[in-house]
Amino acid sequence: MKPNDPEELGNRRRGGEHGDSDAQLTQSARGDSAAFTPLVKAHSSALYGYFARRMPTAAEDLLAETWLQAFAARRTFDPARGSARGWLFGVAHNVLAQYLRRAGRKEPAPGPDVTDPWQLVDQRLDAAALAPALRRALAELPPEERELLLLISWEQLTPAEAAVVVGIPAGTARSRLHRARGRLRDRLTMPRPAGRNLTATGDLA
Amino acid sequence: MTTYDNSEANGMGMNERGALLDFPGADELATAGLVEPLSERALARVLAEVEAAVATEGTVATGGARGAEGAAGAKAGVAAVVPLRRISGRRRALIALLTTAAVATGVVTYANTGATPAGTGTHSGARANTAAVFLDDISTVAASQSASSGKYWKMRTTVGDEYISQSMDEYVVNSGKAAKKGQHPDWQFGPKDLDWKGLEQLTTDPAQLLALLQTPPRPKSISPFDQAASLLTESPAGPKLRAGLFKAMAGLKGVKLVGQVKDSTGRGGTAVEFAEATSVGRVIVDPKTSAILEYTFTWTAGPSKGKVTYHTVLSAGFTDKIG
Repeated sequence: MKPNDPEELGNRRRGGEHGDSDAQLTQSARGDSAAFTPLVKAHSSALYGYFARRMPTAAEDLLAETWLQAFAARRTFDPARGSARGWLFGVAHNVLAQYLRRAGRKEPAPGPDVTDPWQLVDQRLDAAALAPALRRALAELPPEERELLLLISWEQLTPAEAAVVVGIPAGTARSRLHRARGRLRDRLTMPRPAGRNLTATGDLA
Repeated sequence: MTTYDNSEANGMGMNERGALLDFPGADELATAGLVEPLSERALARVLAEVEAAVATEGTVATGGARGAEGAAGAKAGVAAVVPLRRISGRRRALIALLTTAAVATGVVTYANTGATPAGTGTHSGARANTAAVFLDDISTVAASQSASSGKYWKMRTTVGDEYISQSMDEYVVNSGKAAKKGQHPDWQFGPKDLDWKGLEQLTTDPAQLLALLQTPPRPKSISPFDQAASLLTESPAGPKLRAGLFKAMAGLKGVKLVGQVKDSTGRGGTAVEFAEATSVGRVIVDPKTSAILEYTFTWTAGPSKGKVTYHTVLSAGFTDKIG
């Protein structure tokens, strides 16, 4: 519902660096389907990256499915609630969740719809020769925290966008992210002997 | 509704991101996420699929996927819907079914298409009045609904479940978790601000309601139409009050009948709207139950011109517990 205070509504609507995409999505929802294709060009490589990092063997198919579902659901996009980018990643998140459900989860299900196929992600980290201590610290994060962290690190989403993607309030996402950062700092920062130039993640065993 | 958060618009989002990524190894983690870019060939394939879907949709009835109704409520603003490839056949069948049902039950439909056949010029006077006629009829439908009560007024919307308690506390449930959002603002109604109790004590007489709505606006007042619309859409107003509100709305100057439309989830209804200097408010009413399916607010001028806010109610009613 329209808020009682018109100024508040105005404030909320100002700003928005992703104005073009927001407008295109809104426009396509109102019947101008042609406004939808520029979105595909603008966001495909970021969405493809999301799948390539998490489900490399099916990334292209999942990307195509994401666009078809986004097109079908375009009328549910509300620019007042967040950017088109965040919304599209939300659709991608659901597509990946559906895929994981169909494929049958290999890992123990860690709660509702966490689309973090950790084994595959961990393989990627291993291949990237990530410091074992960092890998282990990430593995020990609660899946919800890890998923949010990867969304802001890899997908470069803002905390509020990441919140929309996993369907939780922005405040909840922020506190989870703060907690994740705290855990990682605790695990990865050790008191260092003065004068020694130990890199933070280099040789912690 | 005020579930959003303004920090993004203030440009804080990115700095905050940096602060949250301030832990040893964050750069390494980012580097580990580098992947081969999407190939031109793959992008072309995806584009072709989407263009085919866009073209196909033009040939079937417009309206959102029906599947969105159930799924959209589950996630904040993000709908999981039936894959498009499977929709058209089913949707055609559904449309046929709905059409048959409407004919069979003799549901009255209203249209204001201006396509009245030539030679029926005598109708033009009556047509000017159709918003009032529709609202009077819907008032009767509203009055015939059964009264109910409960500790909370619950609305299932496309962005989650919202609860208002009798003391105007507001709760939102998303993904199974309840969060208190604070106080629901009182409903503006002419010179009054109504809480739950105020609503129960409000007159249900259409003439008195209209008189209240027509009192001179206070600073920051929303339009009389929007005041009536918000009580009808998102308040626990009972059948008598709702019936009175529809009748009062019929007496407001400038309320127009739009006719048969679909809401953003594809549900059909009858829309009436009211234009202000820089915006239009519209309600889509379910003619069978008088429920408001969707309220939209559109800026028609000014810096936000073209922006639309949707408030879509999938279902609403009283309940005694949250969750």
